Amino acid sequence: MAEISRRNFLRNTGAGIAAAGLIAVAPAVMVSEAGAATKTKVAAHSKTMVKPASTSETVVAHIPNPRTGEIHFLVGSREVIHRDRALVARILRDV
Amino acid sequence: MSSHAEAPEISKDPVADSTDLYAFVSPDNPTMVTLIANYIPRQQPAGGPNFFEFGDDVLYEIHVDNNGDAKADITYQFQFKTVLTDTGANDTFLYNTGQIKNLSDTTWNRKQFYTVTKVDKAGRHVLGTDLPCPPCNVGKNSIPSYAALTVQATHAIGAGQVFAGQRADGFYVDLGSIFDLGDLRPFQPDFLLKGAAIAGINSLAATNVHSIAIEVPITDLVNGGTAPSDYKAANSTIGVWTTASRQTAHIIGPSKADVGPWEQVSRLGNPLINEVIIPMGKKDYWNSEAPNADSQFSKYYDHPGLAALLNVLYPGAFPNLATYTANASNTRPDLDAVLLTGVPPLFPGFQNYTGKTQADMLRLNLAITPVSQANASILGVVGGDVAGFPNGRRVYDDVVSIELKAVAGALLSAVVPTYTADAAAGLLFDVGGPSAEPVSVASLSAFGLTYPTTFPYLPDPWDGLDNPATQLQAVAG
Repeated sequence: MAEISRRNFLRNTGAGIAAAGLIAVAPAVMVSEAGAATKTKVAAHSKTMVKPASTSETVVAHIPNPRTGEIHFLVGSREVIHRDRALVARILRDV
Repeated sequence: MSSHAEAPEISKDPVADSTDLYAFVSPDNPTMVTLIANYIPRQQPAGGPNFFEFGDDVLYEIHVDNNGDAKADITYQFQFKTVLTDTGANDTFLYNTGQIKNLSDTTWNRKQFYTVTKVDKAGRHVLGTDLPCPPCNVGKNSIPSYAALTVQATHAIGAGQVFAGQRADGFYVDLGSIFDLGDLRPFQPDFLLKGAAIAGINSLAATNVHSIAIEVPITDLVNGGTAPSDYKAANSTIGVWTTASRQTAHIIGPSKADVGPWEQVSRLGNPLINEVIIPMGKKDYWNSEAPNADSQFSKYYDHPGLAALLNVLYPGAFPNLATYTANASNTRPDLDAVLLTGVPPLFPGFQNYTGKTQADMLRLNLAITPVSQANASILGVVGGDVAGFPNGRRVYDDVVSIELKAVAGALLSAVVPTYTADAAAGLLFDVGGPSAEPVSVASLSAFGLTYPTTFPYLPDPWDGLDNPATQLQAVAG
């Protein structure tokens, strides 16, 4: 089984996102009515301006349930949920 | 205890564990409000080699609701960073290499600084950056004058002031008795397993916490921006709670990182809610929830487990409560009022009702004039002192005894006229005695508890060298 490198993973992930055209990124800090620290979960289908993560910033990909095809990307204080069943299947195959 | 290690998950994460929350009109400056959130419970003063500190990876917040919807209208955020003075020049293993007389001393090796941000409907406003915390109280050899460091660590922010650092824990409770089947020491002759009446012990004697204290003008918090003068006015009462949050992912290893949205892991409004009201299986979940969703927990207020146990633990002492609680259709509108909605204007000179939204918030009526420490009753409203709990909470209020009385039904007849409170309900208390219940702030000095009359209102921390915990417990017992 081919080992998936971090660089390949990110490149492949980025390609998957670009191909799907579904990426959505929340503002770096979303202020609720409370103004409190608010989870910035964003549905994949919502269309907002793309704000790429810094190339030096840690990105964590989390697949809570492979059956849903969702990958949760954690970067900074944001969470971006991307839905791509093919990509999830490929990751599962390679890990 | 108020909220020290009150839930399974947060008990393993003390840095993010809120222990107590206080909100009161400043007695020495009645145009101001003081909010204090304590974290990191049960600190033994001899804390070396690695002394206690706030979490750089924790977002600490104090929230204020001023329109009764249990959503924060104003939030104060506190974020910390730790700086090592010795970055390798000496490779010292020590917290301090000499005396610490000033916060800038290079003899202090591990310092913390913080940023205070106010968030409201207008956006985010940074109130202060790189504000130094004081060190932990290592001992008198290392820190000859801790009081001087407290002064240095009290920072002006606008018309207010802020302090974040170690303090002596002002909360007191007899944990040993309460969690050993509710065996309140002063009432042991009436307990199921009878014993002699003895004084209740403060289990938290001579321990420290880390406090975040902020004092701001009343006008900064009140809806409409004008200080209320009528205690019955709709905008006279604010709701306050504190939360701690961690980022979703924590990576361990060479590429260590904390990333992702902030997730709430701890919260605190009224004292003792998650300890005594919320069942074990819901405690971690409760900590993750927002106050405006607290109606989901109201059934636990309406049928508190402790109320059902009292007449069993003290046979024959609570017959009316036993009869009342035996009827499953009977609810507890008294506890709902005190702890979930605020108290409507049932009593002269006091109300802190914020509307129908059920929420665990500390509710403070800003129009009620504070009283001096000398004239205060630590039993607050129950003791005839409407400036105390449950009208907000002062650092010395005996919230354990107040809530024991309330759960036992001492206030139930005020809202259920057909109910007659058991005589024992109003007598319950835990620390002190055994013959007389402490009611004044001065009476708490017997347990080593004294309270400053000025900001930040909690005492300087117990020091590591001269730690009197054992002696204090012996005196209290």
